[in-house]
Amino acid sequence: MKLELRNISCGYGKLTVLNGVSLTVDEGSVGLFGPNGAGKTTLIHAVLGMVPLQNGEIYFDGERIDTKKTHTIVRQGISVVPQERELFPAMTVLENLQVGAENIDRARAAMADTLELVYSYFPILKERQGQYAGTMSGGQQRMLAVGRALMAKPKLLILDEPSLGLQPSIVHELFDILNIMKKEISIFLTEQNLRESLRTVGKGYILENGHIVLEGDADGLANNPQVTRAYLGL
Amino acid sequence: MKKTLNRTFLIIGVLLLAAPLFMGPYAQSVARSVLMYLMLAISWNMLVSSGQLSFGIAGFFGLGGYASTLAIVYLGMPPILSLVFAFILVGAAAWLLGLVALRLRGMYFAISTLALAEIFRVIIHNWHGFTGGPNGKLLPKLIFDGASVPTYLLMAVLAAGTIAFSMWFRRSKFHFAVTSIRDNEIAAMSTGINIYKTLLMVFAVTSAVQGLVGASFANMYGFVTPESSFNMNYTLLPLAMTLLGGLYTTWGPVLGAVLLGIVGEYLKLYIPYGHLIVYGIIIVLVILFMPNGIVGLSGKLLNGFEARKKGEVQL
Repeated sequence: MKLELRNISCGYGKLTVLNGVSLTVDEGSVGLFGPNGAGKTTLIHAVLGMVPLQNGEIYFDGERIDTKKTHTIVRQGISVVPQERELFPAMTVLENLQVGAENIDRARAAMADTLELVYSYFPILKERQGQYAGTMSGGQQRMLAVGRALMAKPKLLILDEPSLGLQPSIVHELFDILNIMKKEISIFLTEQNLRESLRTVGKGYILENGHIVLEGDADGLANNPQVTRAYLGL
Repeated sequence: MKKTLNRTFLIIGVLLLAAPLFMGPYAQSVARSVLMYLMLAISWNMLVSSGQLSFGIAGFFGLGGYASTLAIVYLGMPPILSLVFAFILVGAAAWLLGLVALRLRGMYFAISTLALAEIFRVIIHNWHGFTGGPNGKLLPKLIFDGASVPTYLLMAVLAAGTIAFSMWFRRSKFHFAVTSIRDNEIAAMSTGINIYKTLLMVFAVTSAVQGLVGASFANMYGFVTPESSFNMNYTLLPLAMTLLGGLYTTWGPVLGAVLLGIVGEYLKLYIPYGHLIVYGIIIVLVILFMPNGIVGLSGKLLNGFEARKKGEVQL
């Protein structure tokens, strides 16, 4: 599995949000960090084909994907946990999970097994499987969103600020589970919470104003004075 | 619970479908028009399940009527075959128009379907040489020579087919796809759903059903005119029926069509056109007091009943 962004630029209308960003996600887990408005979510939307590129190319497993439609990219093995409004509130927990697998052939064939796997990561989802997704707490909804993304049997799981709006203990629990998951699949996440995510990712990029300003392995970033001052409050 | 509800409706449905056979031509003609509206309501409800509101029912209805009539008049097509022809032609037309219209969403899509229906009517109204212009076209003879029982049976078969199709639809992967598109398009895309293709297919098939109904209407009454075949009633009544019965279900539109169809027939006798006022009042009341329609309400009651039976508390 390899996701490669080569010198991409994109934005909305006349506004350019990402300006010549290059980034590589191989096996293992990679983080993208930066303040609000840096372009983290835009970068994920670009990977998924929801925002057209003005410049540059995106490759997944050696194949160019930036000209493809979102559903095709998802079927090729990239699943996303979007930042907000990520569920189908009028469907039950189980139905939300089923939708995750329903439209992808290899995932549909393996649905029963994947469901067991998701339930083993998040036992609460099994308890609540008949409940409407819209009636669950924020943390449970986020877990369901992760579960639904896993149902697609992706090679790469992308999470857009998984800690957003959750209480610290739940965030901690979620990252514990991501730490187990990353042994099975590759993870690419964006975060503002470096303290938690540096436990999980092997490598990180720092994005500011649409530019990658720093990259390095997790230890390197954790000990970089620039990073500790700006993000860890030390 | 859902099973009990479905089975109850199935039994009632079969009985209701068979009843007019023993009640003479008048009941059969009322029942035929109820079935017609029922099919329009079911097909509209299938598209609306994906969040796309179509105001073009009358357009596809009229187009189907003209397709069938002109095929019989000019090509000498047998009536039954002309129904199939109308189904395919309207489906293909909706597919082509959907390619463009389905790039729009919500209100914009709704208005463009309304405009499409009007464009069909205007073209047919003005194409004197081919369509007969404002005078319309007469069929050489009615389907089954106008015999009441076979005509009713044909409509019953078509309606049963539409109901079965809708039941299958609600269990297929289309159900998940359209519901997720209605709920959240971004999330739907991210689960690998091809939104455009799904909507296009649903739009084409449901419009084809509406064309088929229009074609059978033309064959039952033996004529088409721009004013009657593209009448706004064919858009508004199925909508009212679906709202009354319950959105996003198979049995909602069925129930709504049966109730409003029969009530409307009686009202028509006593206050001509007054039934439209009653429909309007019903829509307002339903939206205010039971947004899930009768089926939603009875499902809720049934749920409560079963929970009490099991000794569970229902909040």
